[in-house]
Amino acid sequence: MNSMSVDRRDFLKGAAMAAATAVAGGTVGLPATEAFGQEVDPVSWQKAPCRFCGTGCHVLVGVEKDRVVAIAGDQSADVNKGLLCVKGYHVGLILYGEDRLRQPMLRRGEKMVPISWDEAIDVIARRIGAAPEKFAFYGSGQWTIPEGYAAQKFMKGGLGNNHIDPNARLCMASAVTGFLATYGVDEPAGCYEDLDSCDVLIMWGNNPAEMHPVLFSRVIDRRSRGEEIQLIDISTRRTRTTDHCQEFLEMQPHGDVAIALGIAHLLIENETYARDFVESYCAFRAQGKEPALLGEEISFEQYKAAIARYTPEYVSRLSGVPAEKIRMLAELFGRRDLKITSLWCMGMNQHTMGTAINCLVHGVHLLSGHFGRPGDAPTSLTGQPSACGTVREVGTLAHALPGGRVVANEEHRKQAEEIWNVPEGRINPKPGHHTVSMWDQFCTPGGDVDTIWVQVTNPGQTLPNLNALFERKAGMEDKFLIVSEVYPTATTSLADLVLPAALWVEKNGIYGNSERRTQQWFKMVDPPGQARDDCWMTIAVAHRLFELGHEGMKDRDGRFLFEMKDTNGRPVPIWDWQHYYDINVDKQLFEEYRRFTRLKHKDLAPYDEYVRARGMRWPVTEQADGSWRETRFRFAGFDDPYVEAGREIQFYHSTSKNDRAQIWFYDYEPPSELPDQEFPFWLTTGRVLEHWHTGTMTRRVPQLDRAMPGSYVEMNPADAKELGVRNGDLVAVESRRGRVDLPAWINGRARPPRGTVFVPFFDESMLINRVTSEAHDPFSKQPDYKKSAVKLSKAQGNLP
Amino acid sequence: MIGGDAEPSAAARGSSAIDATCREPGEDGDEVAAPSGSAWTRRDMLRGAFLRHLLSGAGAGRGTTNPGSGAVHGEIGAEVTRVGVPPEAGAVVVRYPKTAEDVRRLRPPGSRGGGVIPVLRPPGAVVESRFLELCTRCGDCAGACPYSSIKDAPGRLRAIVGTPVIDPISQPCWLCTDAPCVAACKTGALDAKLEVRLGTAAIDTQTCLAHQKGVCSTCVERCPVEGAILVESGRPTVDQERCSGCGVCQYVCPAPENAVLLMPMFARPAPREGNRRTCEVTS
Repeated sequence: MNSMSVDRRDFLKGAAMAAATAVAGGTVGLPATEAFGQEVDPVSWQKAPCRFCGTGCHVLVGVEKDRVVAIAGDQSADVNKGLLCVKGYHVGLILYGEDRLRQPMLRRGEKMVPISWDEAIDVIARRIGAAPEKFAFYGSGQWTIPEGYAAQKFMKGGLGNNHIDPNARLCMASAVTGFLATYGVDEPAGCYEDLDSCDVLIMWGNNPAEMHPVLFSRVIDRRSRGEEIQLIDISTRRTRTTDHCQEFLEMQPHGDVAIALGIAHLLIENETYARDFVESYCAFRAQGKEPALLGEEISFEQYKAAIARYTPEYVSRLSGVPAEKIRMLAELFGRRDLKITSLWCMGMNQHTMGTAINCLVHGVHLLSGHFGRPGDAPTSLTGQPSACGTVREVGTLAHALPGGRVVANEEHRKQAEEIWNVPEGRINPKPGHHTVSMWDQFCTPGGDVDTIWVQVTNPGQTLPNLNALFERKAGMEDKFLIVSEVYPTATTSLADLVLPAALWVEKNGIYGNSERRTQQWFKMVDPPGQARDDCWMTIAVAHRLFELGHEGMKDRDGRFLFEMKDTNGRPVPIWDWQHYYDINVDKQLFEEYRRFTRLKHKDLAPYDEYVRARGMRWPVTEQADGSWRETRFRFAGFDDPYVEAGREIQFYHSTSKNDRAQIWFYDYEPPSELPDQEFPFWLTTGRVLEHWHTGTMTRRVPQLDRAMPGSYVEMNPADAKELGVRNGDLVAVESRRGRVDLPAWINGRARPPRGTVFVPFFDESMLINRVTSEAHDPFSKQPDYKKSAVKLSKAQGNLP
Repeated sequence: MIGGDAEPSAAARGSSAIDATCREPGEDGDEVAAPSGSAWTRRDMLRGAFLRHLLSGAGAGRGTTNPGSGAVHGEIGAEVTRVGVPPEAGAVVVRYPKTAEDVRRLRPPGSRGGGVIPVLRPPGAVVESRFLELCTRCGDCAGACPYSSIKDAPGRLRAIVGTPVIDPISQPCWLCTDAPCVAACKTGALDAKLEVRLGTAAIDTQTCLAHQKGVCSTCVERCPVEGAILVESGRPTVDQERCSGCGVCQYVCPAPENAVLLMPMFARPAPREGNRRTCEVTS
């Protein structure tokens, strides 16, 4: 018995092993001798990026008999170096929830009835064919790059219709406008390696301990190795991130705008700004009379005069942060010997001044010269695995074309028409409806949009002001909602046609993470039932329209828009599911898309390079020896191949056409809604560690569901006492738009100050987005989920 | 505790061990001794030394097992883990249950069933020997439990089949303030006057995500006994004096390998004077 190799400690824990791992996991069920390699392990392993957030960790996926049976972190991946977060370890189980959708279903009256794929594709094609201009495509940052690219080409290059927008509009649109307005080109200049070398890490309304735990662990790990790193949390409540920070600046919602202005003011006032850096590489901007994304040039003197009133005391009044803390931040930024990295995510993006605060934080870094060295970077994080790759780079937005192009630019349209080989003038120059506007039109009788096809997202739970922007659709005869999904969701509940979709490693895919890293994976298992790839669905509908004679589905030569050939040059009928995997459709779409990426120096390598790598950060350029080299630090002469030789920094997409980045001035403006007598509390919303976004995947993993079984309202103990609410009591949270009842959690995971409550949005049984506001940023059109005025009352009844 | 039949061969060996467990410690004067007469510390027990000993079979006396030594099997374990795993794989390799049923019941690969060794009794349970005398297996306590946490011990547990047990991985004791299970017990097997202590939990720092460079705070947030789980630098530990052994932490632990070890109380208090009939107090 003692020779038994199984660790008894693990045996002891037996059933407690949620999904057994390591020692026991490898051997349980096998006689000991086999475990030592006398028999071949039946599990085959392949790489894939994790399905969840924008961090882009790589996992190794173990497959046995067409089922994912194991997951490990990938040590050869730079992003996570073998580590995963609690969600990542369980990512394989998202495929195996018991209620996976397996069959196309069409609404007939009150009932959903099963139909064939042929019928489903025909229904969609005829619906689009009847009124192509009233059709809209609603996608997401979870679309793979080829999926998003196919949808983009189908809409803009096929239908000549720009009503295509992603859920990323709700997620990082303000980051995009911030980068565009500052550098003239989207996406961060730095990368995760900044986290390894910064001396100070400032988190602006960001809670990476829960939302990007692997990145946060990377920082905390430095500290446990004895390195000094100062962590500063600027937030509206104490979170798990705060627990690790030396400094906590508790701000009133919207206070970040004032804080950034306050730092810039002190840098100038104390003459600690980086004069050399600013004179060499920066210009100044502000909004003119007509607000525009790119604004108007101002002089340094004008900037100085405008910012003069943001004294620490004034900033303190606006933000609620003590004046000495503003001085502390300005002192840190005034020291060039320190390396400072800023991180942000939804706190700054879901903001009615989202573009402004993004620009202002970039401005603080530029003004202080904390830019362009490893560890000195303003970096926005994304919440979705391919918000960058698919939405921002492929441009699946109502105004955009692939590779940083826009529909309003004639030259850009021509380039796209050339690559797509579609007749000149096919692409509509007028931007389509952005997310809020699209759903508003859809929920309005007779509105511009009568059919929406939703892929890889759950707007029935994530749109703000759900009563107005989603639930109003119920019972509208002339509206038709098509939803490609993997599980029943709040969105499928109002769908007229539900299409079962393949998920993650059930299909080929390519994602692009927060640090410009493009990551490829192969299909490893078959999807359940009749579930199929989203990309196939798009192509099949396009082909059905082609068969029905729709002119838009033909290219200049009269051929099908998505015609693809095998290596022998024979066309492959990829619209027929039986032949979809005869060739690698992903690869063909990707190679076509690559041709778009040079314009804005977002060069991608050939598909096969990504097959070999654990992702590569663009621009990826070919070397003399034929190898491909990624770029870690953009605009920095020591690393970016597009910076002219001999230059330290070059902003080669400058909006002022002189290689300078823009330091913006924006005046503080109050939020769209402030607490008042009737609605005296701030409501902010967000995520939790255990669940990813709307929880459709993570809530089907038993371990994660148990760890965080339901939503709650986080309250300050004093507020709770005043309301007579104890932990677990039901509280009604009500705004001008809607009401939801939730159990109170006091002194729980995070601690909001008096007057603020927080509610996570993962729980579809308690839809907080019935309460939130659709007020949005004027440039990015991104709604502000972080600031709604609500009233609270003790509710009757039991938990749902 | 809940080991169940982690593997077929182990299950066969395990049955005799289970029998031994279900007898009162010291009852037979065999190697399953009460803690007072044991070479093991309470901590060793928590770490599984006790069960490891039981499972190591008749030939392995106490002297041949070295409680608390993790080194040897740790090395072997590392070896075993890597079989068939690509070298790039991180330290944690998560093996998933392979059927829908096992996914739902959080069973590890290859296991066949739940079970509790030694068993976690409902709150207020008197010392085990007395408990087995008093318990009529009527099911009243299980019927009174609003969470269905209390279950009948399965047939595999032989001598104690049908007695009430708690299997926290399927449903822990949520520590109702009014203890309806105790109120429902007419025989005195559950005694309202006894402190509620089902057992003691411990965090396995090797598998706890917060101890292994990760971020997690689920157990401390959900623990119903204030102060029973302490957190330092984000890492939880159990205050074993305060822990009630309810198993909520084990139930909610989202780590890929459940990081909560839970040891049932070995020496529960005897029933109080008034209830006492002929009880042999063993500790």
